[in-house]
Amino acid sequence: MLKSKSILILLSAVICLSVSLIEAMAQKSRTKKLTIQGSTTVLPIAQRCAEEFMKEHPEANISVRGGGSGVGIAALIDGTIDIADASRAMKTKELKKARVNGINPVAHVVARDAIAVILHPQNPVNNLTKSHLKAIYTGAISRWNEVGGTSDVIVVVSRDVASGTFEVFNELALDKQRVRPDALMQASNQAVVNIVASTNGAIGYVGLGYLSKEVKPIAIDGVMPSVATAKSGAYLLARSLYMYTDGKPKGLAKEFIDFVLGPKGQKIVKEEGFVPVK
Amino acid sequence: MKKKVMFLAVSLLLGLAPYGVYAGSAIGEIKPYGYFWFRTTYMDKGSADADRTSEFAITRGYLRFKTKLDHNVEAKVTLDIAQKHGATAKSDWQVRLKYAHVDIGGFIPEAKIRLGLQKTYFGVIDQWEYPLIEKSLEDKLKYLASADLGVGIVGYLPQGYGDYAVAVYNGTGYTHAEDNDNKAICASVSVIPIPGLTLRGSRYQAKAGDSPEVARNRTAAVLGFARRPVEAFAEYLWTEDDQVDGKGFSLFGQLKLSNKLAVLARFDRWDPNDAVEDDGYSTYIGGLNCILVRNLLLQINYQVEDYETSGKNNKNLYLVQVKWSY
Repeated sequence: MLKSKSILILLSAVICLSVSLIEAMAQKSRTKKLTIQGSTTVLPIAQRCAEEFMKEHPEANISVRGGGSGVGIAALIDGTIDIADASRAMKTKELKKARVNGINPVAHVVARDAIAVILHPQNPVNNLTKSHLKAIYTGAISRWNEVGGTSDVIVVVSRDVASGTFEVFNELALDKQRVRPDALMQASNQAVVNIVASTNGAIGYVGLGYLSKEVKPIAIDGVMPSVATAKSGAYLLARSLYMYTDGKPKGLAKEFIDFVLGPKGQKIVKEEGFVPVK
Repeated sequence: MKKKVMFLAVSLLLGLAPYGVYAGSAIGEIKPYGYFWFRTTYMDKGSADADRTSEFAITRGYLRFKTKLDHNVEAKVTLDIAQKHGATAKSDWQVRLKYAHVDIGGFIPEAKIRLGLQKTYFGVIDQWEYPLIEKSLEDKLKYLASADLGVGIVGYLPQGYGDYAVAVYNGTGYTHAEDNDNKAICASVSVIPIPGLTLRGSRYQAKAGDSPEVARNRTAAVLGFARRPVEAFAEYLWTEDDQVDGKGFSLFGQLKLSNKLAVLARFDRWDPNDAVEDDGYSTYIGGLNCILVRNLLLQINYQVEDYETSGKNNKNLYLVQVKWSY
């Protein structure tokens, strides 16, 4: 009785395994498809690169979605996507989960992201320490004279919480503390520039690509934001942007990563307001 | 030794308490999440009417909350809502605290000190996310409770090459209060030498009662394999309870046919007393999992429990369950 049950179960398992492996292999050979998911910060780079890549390779079908770094990494760990976009490095917990699942995450740094802190051009303050910046944005400091400026009230301008820029700033400058409730939350980099340019006591932050003569960028801990300081890592409010693959990329995934890191991809990186890595 | 362990645990709790209170001033969002299982079971263990039963039940619901008190301090609470078997209409549900702990990081790289009601870091019991409806082998046999009160350190090996956990517990499990001063000590180490291959060793050492004290030791070795579309593990478990040694194993395999469909199988073999012949039993489980929509999983299981003991009827269980995650 026991023997026949064991044989039946074993036989069923072997049949199911064979059928699904054959089906999976057949499906892989039929299509030239690439699925990418993850960080909303990396999304514009991935989307534009995918569009340009598909123009050059009409046989390729690339699907790009956002959702956030955590969502993309989780999907890579589950084996449901080919490339995970991430605006942070994978955590040890995620690396362990990936290895348990038989996934070997390989990171490709495709760009650097730097956030410049901006003031009204007439504001005499030229430098803030990280702790001053954090105190201003969390509400502990409310007047400019507490950081060497005039007696004006500080008007805090921030990106809304859904933006990738907010996510970086919140992590790197505020150690994930909450922004003061009376901050003016803006939906775009340009909106932040407009308010800071027209308000004497305002402070804001934007991607490096959005700096203009209407506003004054300041140094953080003595380092000015620039392509060079963002690349070298000397500037505090800068981070790498990643595309993760399972093992060394092959086939279409390799062609796409090569495109992003090539001259055309890096031009797109620059046009989207990020710092190229090549 | 026992007093030293207690002293250390209490010192740790008191020493960290002010830090916890301070960290609590930076209050974050409280995130609710969890699961509810709705199940129907048909059991057949003989020819008499009383041997055949069927029921609809919400067998379990986990209502979970977590919050970040500081970037290094996190708190989690899980309420376990279950239906009492044979309950009266007035008291048919019970709510128990399953997990309630504070995790404090920053002291040891890639590790947290965990204080409170937490998982038992042993074998498969703390990893089993119910891909099949049945509990893990050690949980099913009630050789260990899945949660207990205590102090633990849980951490990761560098670069995700594995993890480890060490804890001191009451030893009575989350459903009972401590009944003596004997603490249970548990340690587990997992190593992942290559992606997809996991090796885990666990030891749980406890004593129950005062005079005489009775050993309650458990040891497990687990070998896991994963390479899409296949996931599998083998667990070998042995137990020592006073003069009685039990031994057995559990084999599990899952084949993902697509992102929404998987077939699963498990075979358990258990001998509760090494010194006694023909007292063992085997469990065979076959299952199908289907994701109906996001966060809604349909599980269909057929389970046979085959006893060697003469006079004890085999059990056939047909189970259908919907698991809602939120």
